[in-house]
Amino acid sequence: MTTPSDQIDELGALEDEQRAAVAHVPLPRRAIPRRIVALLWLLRLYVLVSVPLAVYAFIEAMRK
Amino acid sequence: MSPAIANKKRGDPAWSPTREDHLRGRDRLEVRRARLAHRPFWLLFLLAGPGILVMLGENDGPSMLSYAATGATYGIGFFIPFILLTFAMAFVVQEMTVRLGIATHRGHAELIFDRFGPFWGYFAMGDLFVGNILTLITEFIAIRAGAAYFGLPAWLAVAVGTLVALSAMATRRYFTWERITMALAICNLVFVPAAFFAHPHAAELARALGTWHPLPGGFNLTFLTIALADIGATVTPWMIFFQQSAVADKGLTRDDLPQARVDTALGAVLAAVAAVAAVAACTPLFTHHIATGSFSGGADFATALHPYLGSVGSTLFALGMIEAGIVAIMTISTSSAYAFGEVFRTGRSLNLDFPQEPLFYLSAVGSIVVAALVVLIPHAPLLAITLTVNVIATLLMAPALLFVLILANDREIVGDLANGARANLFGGAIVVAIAVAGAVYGIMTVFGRPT
Repeated sequence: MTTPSDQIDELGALEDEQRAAVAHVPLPRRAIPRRIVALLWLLRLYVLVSVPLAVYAFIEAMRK
Repeated sequence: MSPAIANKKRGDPAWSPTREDHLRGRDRLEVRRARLAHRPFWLLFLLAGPGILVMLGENDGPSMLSYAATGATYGIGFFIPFILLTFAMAFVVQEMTVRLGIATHRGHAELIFDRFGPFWGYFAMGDLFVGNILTLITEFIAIRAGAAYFGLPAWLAVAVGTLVALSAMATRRYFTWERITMALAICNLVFVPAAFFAHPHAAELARALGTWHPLPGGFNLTFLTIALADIGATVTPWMIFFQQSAVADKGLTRDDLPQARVDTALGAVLAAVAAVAAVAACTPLFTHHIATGSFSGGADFATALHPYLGSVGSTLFALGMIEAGIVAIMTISTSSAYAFGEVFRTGRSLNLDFPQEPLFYLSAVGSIVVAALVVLIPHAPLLAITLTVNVIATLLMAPALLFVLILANDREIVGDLANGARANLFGGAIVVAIAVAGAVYGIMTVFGRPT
């Protein structure tokens, strides 16, 4: 059974940033440089093209 | 304890400790005692978990089927060192998520939403949820296939897998869930004794490791599909989200970074051993020219291996498939729950009580149930689905990795735990390699080189 003093020890073992209430506070938004945005878009397009290709390859393999 | 006592202790008049705080604090107290008592192995035992779970969790049903297909198609050769390389890649990526989790005490989904905004956040979440649902389906395929070897019906296999995953989560305690899952995950090494029944030649293994040869058939679409599937068997988006959230949920701090790195490295080594063992166990199918193209899953592999591994070896292989599927269901559904909780600002901890944050648990339960129902569809081409899901996981990895790299360089949030030049070099090389491999796969698929 956990006593009140045990509970104080438990909570004392937590760093401030580990407390649920602190960790749930949103962080500020960062400014994303244009080259990073370009890279994110490039990889997004890559996913939008390549995943349907993988599905297409699967369907073709099933039809053979 | 009353909030007032706790606040006095913390020097914070507004703090009202939650169940999550108490349980995490209890774990941290054990860690503090182990550290003060100079018990390094006990300390490592307490702090290990996220790394071992993420690596052995990724040795999941589709991964083990990919390794089985690799052994049956190529034998011992090029893919042995290639698989070890993919685990080195996995370590580089996962070590970054450890630092992110320790520095911010937040999960990956939360960081993407906070730092990049909802536009990019929803893209990343879309990738994760699609990837996770597809992968969960293949985990049930693995369980179903492994159980079929023992003559168990599909519905029973799926029900048992679902029940085990939900039971561990029902403990509502991160540490307990972690230990149950780790105990199951270690059973992934069952592929090692199975491999010994295939009598692999040490000299052949050493030659493959040293020369990356032989590679029968050369470079073609089959090679690329197997290569991408093996990459997808080692590095996938859910791993990033899971480990960072688990590190935060476990409450790891900067002092724990060395043990967290050892945990991740140990997980990579154990998973690599099991992966190579699965390849070696299936090498007799390559040697005896057994065609695996029409196989529907792990049961077919286990049955085909029976004449070469004997009943014990093939039974171990089938059991390994079931274990791989169950552990992955536990870790992947948890990664979905963490991401869901982080994005929608609900609970994001396995230390939460069900009535306190039902959405956190329901998101995991929902993904498990959907996948379980899909896999009961009769006559589905299970092995082809599995390999394709691994390929898709690989294709989704490049943008997920880019987010990790950017966040790991974000000194405003990670401070001195930010990436160094070497981590950026390796991380960047992995993004480029995965993107190029996917692009070549796409080109070969469309313009069709013969397989």
